[in-house]
Amino acid sequence: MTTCVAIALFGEEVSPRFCYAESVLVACFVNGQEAWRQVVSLGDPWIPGRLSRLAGIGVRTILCGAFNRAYLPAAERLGMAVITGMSGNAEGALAKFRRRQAASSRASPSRG
Amino acid sequence: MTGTRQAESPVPPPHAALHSLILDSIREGVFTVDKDFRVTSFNAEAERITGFSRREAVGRKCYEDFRASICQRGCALRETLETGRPLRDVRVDVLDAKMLPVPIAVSTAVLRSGGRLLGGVEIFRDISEIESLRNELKGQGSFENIVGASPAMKRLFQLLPDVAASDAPVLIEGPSGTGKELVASAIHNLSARRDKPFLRVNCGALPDSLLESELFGYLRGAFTDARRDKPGHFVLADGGSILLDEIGDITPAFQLKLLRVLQEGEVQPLGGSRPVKVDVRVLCATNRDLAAMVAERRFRQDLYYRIRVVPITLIPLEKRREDIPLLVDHFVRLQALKTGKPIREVAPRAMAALTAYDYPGNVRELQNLIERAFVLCHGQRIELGHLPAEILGSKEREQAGVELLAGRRKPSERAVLQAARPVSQVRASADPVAQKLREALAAHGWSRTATARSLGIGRNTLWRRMREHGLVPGKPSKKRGT
Repeated sequence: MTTCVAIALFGEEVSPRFCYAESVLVACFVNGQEAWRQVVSLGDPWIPGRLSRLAGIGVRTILCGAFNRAYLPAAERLGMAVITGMSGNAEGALAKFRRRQAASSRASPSRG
Repeated sequence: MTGTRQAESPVPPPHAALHSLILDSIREGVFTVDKDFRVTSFNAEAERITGFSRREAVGRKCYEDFRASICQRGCALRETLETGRPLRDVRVDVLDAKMLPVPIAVSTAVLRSGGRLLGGVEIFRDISEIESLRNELKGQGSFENIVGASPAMKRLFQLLPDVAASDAPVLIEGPSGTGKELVASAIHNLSARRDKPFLRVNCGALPDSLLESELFGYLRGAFTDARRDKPGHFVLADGGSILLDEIGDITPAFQLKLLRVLQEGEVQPLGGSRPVKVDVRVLCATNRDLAAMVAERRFRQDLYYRIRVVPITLIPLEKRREDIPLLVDHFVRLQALKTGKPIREVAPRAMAALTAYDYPGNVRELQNLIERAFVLCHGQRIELGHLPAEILGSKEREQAGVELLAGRRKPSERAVLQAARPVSQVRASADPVAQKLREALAAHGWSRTATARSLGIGRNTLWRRMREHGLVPGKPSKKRGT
């Protein structure tokens, strides 16, 4: 199973607001192992444009400090989950997210 | 009640506690930071606006709690700490506890003790009430993100709620850059379909086969690269609205396919045998004269009447010149929010020049001019020097703009502006081909590739025509007699 996560960046830290992050770190995991990662420049702060771009490269989860609630339905329509309240070092936030994911998959194992 | 003497004359609280009490009693949000931008104090109003408690905020980087539009691009506190200069009432927005934007005005100052830099203080107040009152006072200066107070725009604002209430197809006509997409978006947002998707497809940018798969979708195996089913925009927009932009650019073959979809209310994905029922409101937009195309048999009459149940025509910006100052103000605020730059106004002479210009690229061109000015402006006010040479005309022309702004000249009094127009513009306007080329180039930011595509000609042909009509910067016209 492939999972792609985008962490909104502010330097090496998690961006406090998704719409003002100049770039995101996209990390993809195949069967729990990191397959590749790339820093993607986002440019224009227009949120729908940013969401379409990330959906286009397969991102399914966005991690950031905060995200304008008005655009959550747009993210959902594109099949993306947004996790807010993240802060500190981006690597640390990614590791925290993966630990949480591993714990939840252990708690609800998929069938056959 | 204890009735003790101590309760009647309490011991005054220590200094720090007193400061905290005072800060918590004021209506402004206040926080202080050290030199590394870590929060050292956070008052009650700051807790209310940001949704973070003092306990959570203190010790963290200020941008983690404050989440303002300027934190990452043009932080006011950083500027104050670097320059030593305080800033007053910088208008920004923050996300509140519910993750919704709240407009605030920010002021900053340096904190020193005995000449030693301790950090900075940021004071901010919620101005959402002031903003909403200001919008009301502006007298319908804007409606659903469409800005304008001219009679034409007021008529449009009156019409939109009624148009939105029906499910009838709408055809929005107007030159490039007049805001056709904004009008379509307003119709969707005002309608009962507002919580469902609103999708836009640029019909002019795609060849028939691609347009068909985009709009109607395809099933796995429909063609070589179709490895999985893909729903089309009509299916994705089910329950909502779809904007078919540049509808005048679709081929006659595709016109017929679209007509069938509109008549039947169902689409058939490529490779599929069963049609799919869809409930989508269709909005179309074009910068072409569809009636003329129908007369020339280049556009199907039956499709024309099917999509033009409610026609809306947008006029060029030069015909509603009185809206220019409102639009300038709107774009300056928008750009200030986007970039975080503390630019708040436009100098009177610059505004006069902006008001006098003809805008062949319409509102989009005006927006681009403001964006460009923001790149060049490092102060708090856009000056004449931040505007491109093409919009700066003669002194008389600028004067005409000043008089127009002062209400001493009617907006329709174009002859005066025309007379004071720079020679190159007169030549371009007198020559209809040159004028058309200029409009198309301006609408595409003078990108020759995009302009050539929009006109359906090659880049080399476009370049040749530009040279012939004197539209190449620094090159004299080759065409004689123009």
